[in-house]
Amino acid sequence: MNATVQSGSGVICRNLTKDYGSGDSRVRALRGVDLDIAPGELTLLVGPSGCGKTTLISILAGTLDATSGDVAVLGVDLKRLSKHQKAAFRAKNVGFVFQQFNLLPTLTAVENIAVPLVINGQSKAAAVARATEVLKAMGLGDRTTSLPSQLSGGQQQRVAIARALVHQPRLLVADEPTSAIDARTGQGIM
Amino acid sequence: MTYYLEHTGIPINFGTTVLLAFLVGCAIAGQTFYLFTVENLKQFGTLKAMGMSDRRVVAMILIQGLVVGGIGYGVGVGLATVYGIFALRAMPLLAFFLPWQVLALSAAAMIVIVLLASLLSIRRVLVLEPAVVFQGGA
Repeated sequence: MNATVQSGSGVICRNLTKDYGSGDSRVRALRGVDLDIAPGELTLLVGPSGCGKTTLISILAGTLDATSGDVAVLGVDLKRLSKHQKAAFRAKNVGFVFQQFNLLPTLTAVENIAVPLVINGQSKAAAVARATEVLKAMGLGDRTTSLPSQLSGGQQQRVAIARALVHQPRLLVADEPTSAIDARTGQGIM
Repeated sequence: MTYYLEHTGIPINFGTTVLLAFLVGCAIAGQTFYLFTVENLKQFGTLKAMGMSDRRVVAMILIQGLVVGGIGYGVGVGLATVYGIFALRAMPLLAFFLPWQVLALSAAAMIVIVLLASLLSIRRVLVLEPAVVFQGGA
């Protein structure tokens, strides 16, 4: 790729474009995006609805392919990775906080947090033990066996953040992480 | 048994019934699995976004199908056995025979039904783009 990709670097995008559809129905969601995010840097994307924020973070997270342009995340050229390699890359390096939490409804809070660890190959017992520690650190030690439906919005969000951080990812991607909760709780979480 | 197989219409009649039952079982099980999958696409998308491999997702669907199929097989075989026991007591002349080969064949048919019924669900999940979890489309 044209961008200078250095080992351990953060995120580098060069001339990134993304089209949805084809022919007359083609919609260009991203047009020549250049972006540099240094390791340890917090970057906020702000813009009106439909301007491509979600498309951009989907590409940065490795869940969506760009139409053209170059993108390197943590020193890895995502275009060179196969589908399977991208999944492994996400499992190891990326933590997700989704707009609607996306907790698995049939798993308890601690089991939800343990999911990334299990995906990364840890045994269920070890993953649950680690997840329990993280949940206690988040101030929800008394809700380990609660289902998501038994948690408030703020508690669900804390579980979602714990799930995103439990495997110590190098890139944390959050899509409107406080939009589904009230302003006061959102400020506390941020 | 050879006489019945060669000189009566029983094999055709029973065979047709079994074939229909097999096809209906495939259709109903497939539809049920597919509906379950569609209802849970958001969860599957979340798992794929977090890096779960396609192989593991497929294994989840198959294991679920086999568990449900196994429970159904157990209930079905159990009810058939209970029916046979009580029917024999009420009607001693009734010809009820449940050899292990029938149980084994039924189990094999159940596994085939589960595999066929899971195909649509597996295909739906495999083509699912993990990015849908960001788009609110799943």
